[in-house]
Amino acid sequence: MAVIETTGLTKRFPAVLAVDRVSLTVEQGQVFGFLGPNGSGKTTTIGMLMGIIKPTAGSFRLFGAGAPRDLLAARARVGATLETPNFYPYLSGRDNLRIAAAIKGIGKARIEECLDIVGLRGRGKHRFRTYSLGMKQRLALAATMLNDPELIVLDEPANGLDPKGMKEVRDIIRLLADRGKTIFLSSHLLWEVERTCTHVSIVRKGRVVGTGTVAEIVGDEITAVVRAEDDEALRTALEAFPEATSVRASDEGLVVALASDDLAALNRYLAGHGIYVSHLARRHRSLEDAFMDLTGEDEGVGQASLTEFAS
Amino acid sequence: MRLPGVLARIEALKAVKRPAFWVTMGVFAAFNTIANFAPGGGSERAGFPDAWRGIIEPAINLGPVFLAALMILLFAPEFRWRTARQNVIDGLSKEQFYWAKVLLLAVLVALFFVTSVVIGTLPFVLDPGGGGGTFVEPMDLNYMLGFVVALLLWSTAGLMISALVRAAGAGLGSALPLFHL
Ligand SMILES: Nc1ncnc2c1ncn2[C@@H]1O[C@H](COP(=O)(O)OP(=O)(O)OP(=O)(O)O)[C@@H](O)[C@H]1O
Ligand SMILES: [Mg+2]
Repeated sequence: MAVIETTGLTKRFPAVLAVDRVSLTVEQGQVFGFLGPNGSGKTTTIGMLMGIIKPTAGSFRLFGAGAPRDLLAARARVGATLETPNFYPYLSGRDNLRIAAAIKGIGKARIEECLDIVGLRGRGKHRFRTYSLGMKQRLALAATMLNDPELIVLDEPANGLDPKGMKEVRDIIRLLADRGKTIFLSSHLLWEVERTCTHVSIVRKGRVVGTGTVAEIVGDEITAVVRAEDDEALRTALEAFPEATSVRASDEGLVVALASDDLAALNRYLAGHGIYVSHLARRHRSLEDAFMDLTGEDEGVGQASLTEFAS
Repeated sequence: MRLPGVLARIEALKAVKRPAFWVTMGVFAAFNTIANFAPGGGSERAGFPDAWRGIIEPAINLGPVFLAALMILLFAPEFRWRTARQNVIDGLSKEQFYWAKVLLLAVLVALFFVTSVVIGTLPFVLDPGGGGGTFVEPMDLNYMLGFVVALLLWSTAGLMISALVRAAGAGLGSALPLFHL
């Protein structure tokens, strides 16, 4: 049975179509990444699933339940946070969890257990206001797991964290996944999703533009990173190379997708055109590459915003 | 779910940990005490000059205003903190969320009332034969009823302003015209 199933889910705000006919299915045990740039409708979609935003059109089911009454019961099997960690700033971390636990009907022992899992036991008595961003995110994780939910929904759990904080969050997510939880997480961090998730949906301007396992989305195309003195000339030459299927810029240099594995041929070709490469390396295609192909240039997005998104 | 109990427990925990709650209650109690122990306190029974009453009665009448302000201080920030939204995500229905605030209102009204009565009867309890008057007179009952009604009205106003304006600062601001009534 699908844990989450949306059909043509749509939300129109007066000024924007935030979510546009989103249909997706999350099966039990998946770690599902909902990937998209800022403003692509991730939070709005999760908000609808959690019953705090009313869909304009379409429908969804949680654990097979679609009717309002059944949904309220189904949500008892879910733990979720939306956007930033939302807590009472003047209460301690522990008191904040006491409130969430009271709503969920959970006992005291479980609060300590959850604080322990996220490594906040020692800081539980301090006010939420005094927490670092990483601690706030971890407290939010603790709150979502209070009721030992079957489905955990996280909206950008790694947002604003340093590499260490991200790793901590990732480890907690792995731990939960290993315990058989279904996890639905939104992110705009491509590599974060690539490392954490088994499945992914890529969303752009409210529309799903690609969906599948990470391996499916990434594909098995051969890519190479190339650098040379003259970027422009290199790009022109690469685009003219018969075996090249696409060329795009990245932080490391130009990334070229190739129809064949023969890098020597590419090197010969470039040299033949008077371009001597300073760097040429085969590269595993990443989710970022797939994302670029899926969303493509046809959306009219400038290079600057794409680069910012990818980083 | 043993809902009312759970909701009341949550609201109580949130209130007693809020400094604003204790400050407001403290100031209110202080006003009451001054009103009751200052010359002319315990209303006009002791026969003190009218001038005193002119100063002190408005202070007592501030009770409902304090309550309205407290209601706004406790309730309105929950929207800015997004805890209102999180409560719903955690499993409260929106109706239950607002019922919790009605419960809070009822408890606060009771608290203000009890505070007033306790402080108001202290002069009598401490000095039964003194100027505190008799323990309860018919006039007091009328006064008390009026007081409770005023508390209810003002706290309801505070509750509604909070729900509409959803911010403590703006809520208090928009309640200012009310305070001049
Ligand atoms: N309450 C609202 N009223 C009007 N427009 C809204 C509202 N909430 C979201 N939007 C708009 O809907 C679109 C999608 O927003 P949403 O917050 O869902 O995006 P997101 O993918 O979560 O972005 P981010 O990565 O920045 O969190 C945006 O254009 C946003 O401005
Ligand atoms: Mg968002």
